[in-house]
Amino acid sequence: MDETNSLSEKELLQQSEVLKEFEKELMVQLDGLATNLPELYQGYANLVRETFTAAFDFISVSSDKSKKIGLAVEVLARGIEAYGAFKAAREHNKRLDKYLKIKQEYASLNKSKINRLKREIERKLPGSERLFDKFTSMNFDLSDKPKDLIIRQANLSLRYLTLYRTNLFLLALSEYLTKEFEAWSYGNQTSGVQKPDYYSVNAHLLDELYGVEDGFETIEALCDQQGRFTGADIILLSDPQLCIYSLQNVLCEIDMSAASPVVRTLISNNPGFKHYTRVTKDVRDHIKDNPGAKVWLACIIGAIITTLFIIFYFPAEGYKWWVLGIALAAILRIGIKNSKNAKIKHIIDGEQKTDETDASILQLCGYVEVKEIDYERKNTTSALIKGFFNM
Amino acid sequence: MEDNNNYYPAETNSDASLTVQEFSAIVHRADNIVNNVAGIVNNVTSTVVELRQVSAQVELECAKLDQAIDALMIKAQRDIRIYEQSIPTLDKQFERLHDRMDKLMDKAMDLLTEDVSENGIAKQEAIMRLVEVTNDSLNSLIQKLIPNY
Repeated sequence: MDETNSLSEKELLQQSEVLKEFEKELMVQLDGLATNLPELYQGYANLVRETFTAAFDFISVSSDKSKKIGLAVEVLARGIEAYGAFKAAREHNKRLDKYLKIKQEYASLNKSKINRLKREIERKLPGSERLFDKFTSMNFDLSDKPKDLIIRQANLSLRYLTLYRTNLFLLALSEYLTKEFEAWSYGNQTSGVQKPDYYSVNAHLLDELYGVEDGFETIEALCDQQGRFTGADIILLSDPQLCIYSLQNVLCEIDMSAASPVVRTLISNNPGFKHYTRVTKDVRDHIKDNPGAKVWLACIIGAIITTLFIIFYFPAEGYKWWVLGIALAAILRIGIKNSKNAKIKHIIDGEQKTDETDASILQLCGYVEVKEIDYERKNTTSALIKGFFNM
Repeated sequence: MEDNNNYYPAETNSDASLTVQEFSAIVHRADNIVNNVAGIVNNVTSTVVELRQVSAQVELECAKLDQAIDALMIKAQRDIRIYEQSIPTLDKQFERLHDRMDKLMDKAMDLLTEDVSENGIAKQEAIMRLVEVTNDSLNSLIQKLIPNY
């Protein structure tokens, strides 16, 4: 995509990572506390258990005494484990409290800056919106135009789109930050508002342009269209993100052979559509592929060779048909087993391929995965009890 | 084209990125140490001394991270002071650029027609270049308003 704005999507997303390093640090600490502190104390408890077991090997005690000491040791070891769980829960809460204080201070410091940010974007947005609205509602006759002129018109349409889309994202970002800062000021760890990304902006744009959530049918209908196209149509067919966003829920092949030359020109100039075609073709080919048939073909060839070999070269004439029968039964069994295994592997591979394709398509639509932080406060008493009884 | 960054006496990006890099390095180191804890604890030959050492190491890294957070907060306070001092300059810059953008947008609206010709597209491309340059300058100023650490 021709990214004309200097403030690129990637830069903007990086910029929006407010307190990113703090959050990364908090995640490390909370994860460490949740798993490693109890494990550390479990290590101490195991040491206590092992030390007493080793001691019993050297000293002779009656079985009754041994049972009592063993019970006392187990209670001590479990006590240590429970303390580990209790300490992890207490430290978890302590970290959350400290982090909230930092966020509150940060919000208070940056409040005026964020208000200003929102104001400036609200001032900047209407101009690009007017231009975008005018372009998308216009009708362009591209039927007899040379290819290079169609491509120039498409590239121009992307410049109107980029200008408006960047402003939409900035507005969503400023609104998100305002909500987050407000939540922190009121003592909450998060506002619960979804962090904006270009995926959500593209959803908004598709709704604004065509009033739909899924643009697949729109693209299919456009493929049959001849002559005149609206600005919205040119944008939908030319923009990699909007085009893939529209096609993300389907894996079918779009038949371009019947499409008009204008549509073919616009689509062939769209790197997003090329990527979509390539990754979905892999999945479609995989679905079409029948691994069981390959296994059975190999078995049939193997059975023919074995039969011919036994008929012409087997030395003991009286046992020939017995041996042939056993050999063919063995090949049949191998065929059934391998065909079943190949089918299972094919299904697993197919699921993995589909997941990878979905992830790659989502990423191209502007989706950014947000890692969740465990903001929930832990109950220390419950952690102590659960730790003791290994619950 | 004037470089609007010169009108905003905020810190240079290299200074900010250095702090973030240092901080990331500390986080990364702590991450590694914390990840190693499980391995040492699960090792049957681990002694009390080893476990105590690991525990102390984790606590030390947590303390270092706390210090790094304090340092970043001091930087945030300094940035805000610089921002507050630059508000009058920033106001003028924003006003000038918004005005210029409005005029360019009006012109772009006038030039936007349904005429798909060499001449029509060339005119739109020319005005869009000016719009984008002004938009870039505005975005550079806006970028400074987004808190980033």
